[in-house]
Amino acid sequence: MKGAGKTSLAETWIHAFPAFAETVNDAPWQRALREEALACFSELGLPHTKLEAWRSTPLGVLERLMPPAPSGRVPDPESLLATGRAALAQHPLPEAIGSRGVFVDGHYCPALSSFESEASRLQFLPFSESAKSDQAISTRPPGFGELASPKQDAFTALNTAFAQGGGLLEIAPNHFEQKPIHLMFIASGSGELVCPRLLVRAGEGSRATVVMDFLSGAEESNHGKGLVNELSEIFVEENATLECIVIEREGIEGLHIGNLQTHQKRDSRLHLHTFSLGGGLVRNELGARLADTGAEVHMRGLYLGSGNQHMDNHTLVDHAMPHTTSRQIYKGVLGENARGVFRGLVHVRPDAQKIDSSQSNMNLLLSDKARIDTRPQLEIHADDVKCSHGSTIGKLDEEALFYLRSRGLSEPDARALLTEGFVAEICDALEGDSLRSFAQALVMDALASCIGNSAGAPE
Amino acid sequence: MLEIKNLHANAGDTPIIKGIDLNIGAGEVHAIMGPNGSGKSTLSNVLAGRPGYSVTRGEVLYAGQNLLDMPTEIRAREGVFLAFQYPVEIPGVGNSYFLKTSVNAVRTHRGEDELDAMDFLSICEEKMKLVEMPSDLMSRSINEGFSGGEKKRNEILQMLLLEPKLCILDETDSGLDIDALRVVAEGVNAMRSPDRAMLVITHYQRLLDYIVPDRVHVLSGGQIVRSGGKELAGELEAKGYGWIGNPE
Repeated sequence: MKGAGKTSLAETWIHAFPAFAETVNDAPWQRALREEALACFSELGLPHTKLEAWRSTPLGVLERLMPPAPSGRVPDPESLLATGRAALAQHPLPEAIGSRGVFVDGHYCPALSSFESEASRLQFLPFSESAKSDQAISTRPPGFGELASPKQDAFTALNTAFAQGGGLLEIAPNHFEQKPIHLMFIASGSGELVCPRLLVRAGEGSRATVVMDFLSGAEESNHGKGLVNELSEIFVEENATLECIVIEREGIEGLHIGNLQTHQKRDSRLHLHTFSLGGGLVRNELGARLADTGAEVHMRGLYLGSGNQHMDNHTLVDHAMPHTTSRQIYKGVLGENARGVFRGLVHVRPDAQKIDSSQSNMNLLLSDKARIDTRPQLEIHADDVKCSHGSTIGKLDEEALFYLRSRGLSEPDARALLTEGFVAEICDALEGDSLRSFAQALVMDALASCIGNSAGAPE
Repeated sequence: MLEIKNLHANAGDTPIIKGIDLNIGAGEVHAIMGPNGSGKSTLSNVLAGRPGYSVTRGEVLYAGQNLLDMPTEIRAREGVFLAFQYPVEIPGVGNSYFLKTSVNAVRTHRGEDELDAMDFLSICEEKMKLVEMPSDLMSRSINEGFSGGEKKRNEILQMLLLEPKLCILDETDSGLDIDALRVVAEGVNAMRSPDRAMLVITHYQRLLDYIVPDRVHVLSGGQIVRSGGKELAGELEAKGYGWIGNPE
């Protein structure tokens, strides 16, 4: 690892592991995986900007903040409850929520959660025994660790080693879950490393909507301080339809490193929406594997940054089989000194004929200092495919601005309207009025601060 | 209503308009005709305040006020309306929301109450009938995917809703088939009134069969080289633009 002198952050975390492992209340299978993962992390160390995938992500901020590793002790349930309740009371939530799962600093809070479904058609099973022993999983659930390997990625290793519980969300075959399942991951702002872990299995022929909502505790003063390193593995079985919405709205001092990996079977449909609205540094790693014919993935993302926010999206779509479809639309609005990265790779394997793929990344820069690095990439090893990709970076259209002003709209109103128009298609794509208006309200809020803070920017 | 005095203007750095004098009184309809590159569109752009155009000499008074000093949106709120030659497509911004925002911006400026959604809708429906505009165009994004005729109808609809005092139509007839032209002209004719002035800019005489002007001016090389009654349009149609002397 690093040379002499100050102990590096990675070393601090590695040293903290034995005490963590001592106190955490694990099933034996998870304990073994943790130890393996820690060995991988020791090997890999923290990523740095010399690595291609991390070239543009300013991880130096981590070394400055030095978030301590989790202690492993489950906090007093009363204090978890209080943090959870306060956060729920402060943050707006959609009107129509079906089942709800609440996690505080990664720990599952059964008292604030409810998964309602007749005959266990929908279940949440915590990995850790401490959460609720009668429902905890005693053997390694199929799929766990299959889509993200600790050997290849330091943050996967870190999450696997330090995950606070986590759990499996299981949607039974042919079950149609009408209302969105809302999972809230609340970071108390303690400054610690928090590692939420999730496994989702959408059974054959099922249909459901899962919202993963990342927010900070209600304390105004700490601005969500800390590092959230989340990892989700999602399996969509044959002919299932899953809509998955990730909302990142942590406080401005929150760092969010998210990794979401999906695996789709034959004729399944997955809609994946990512809204990056808060946090000081947000990085989304999104991997979609189209593992059988007829599978279709629609990925949409919106990132809104102002101040010194940094937002990354790294997507990888793997067309492993013929007749698979992928659609990607990622849009960003960046003001002030905000910075964004979009790196998207569509990989078409040799036998994956007749696939259909499109990828687009569009960016609106509201200030001269805002910056975006965009790199859409295609890697095609089949010869009968339909692939398109492209990216744009621009300012507001002067023609459109003049058109609106010539109809009496003030310049600030015209700018706001055009910016809202730019992001509209991402929110509009959400199914369900309640969820759509919830997302729209959050987006409008974040957009208002983007536009407001950049209002004085030179044209 | 509109007094243009010795107007000189550039598009970018290129001098285009080289001394125009024109008075349009309330209730009058004036047509400006001319070949491509004569300065027709520059004139309309200067009057509406489009960025990229600069006035180098002369002045323009609108209802006695210095029009050129007003920002674009103030001109609009004061009652100047430009129907665009190429209406802009704006994805993501709903047409109906835009129209309501626009109408209310103008109403507020005039000291009138804002229209609520219901009132706006009923007024809008009535005006839409006039321009034979299908109702689904209201729920779509501004001009996005509209046909040429639909875009121009949308322009006229905006004009009907905003009730301007000075209407400038910049080649509104270009690219329209005869049917769409008739509808657009009917919309314009419905706006003719003793307290409203109109400036109709066109390349083709055909439009003036439907919107009959009080005066016709021929623009060439950035100057008005001829003015006359509506019969001048017929003369141009018969002889083409070739017979007009170039002022330079």
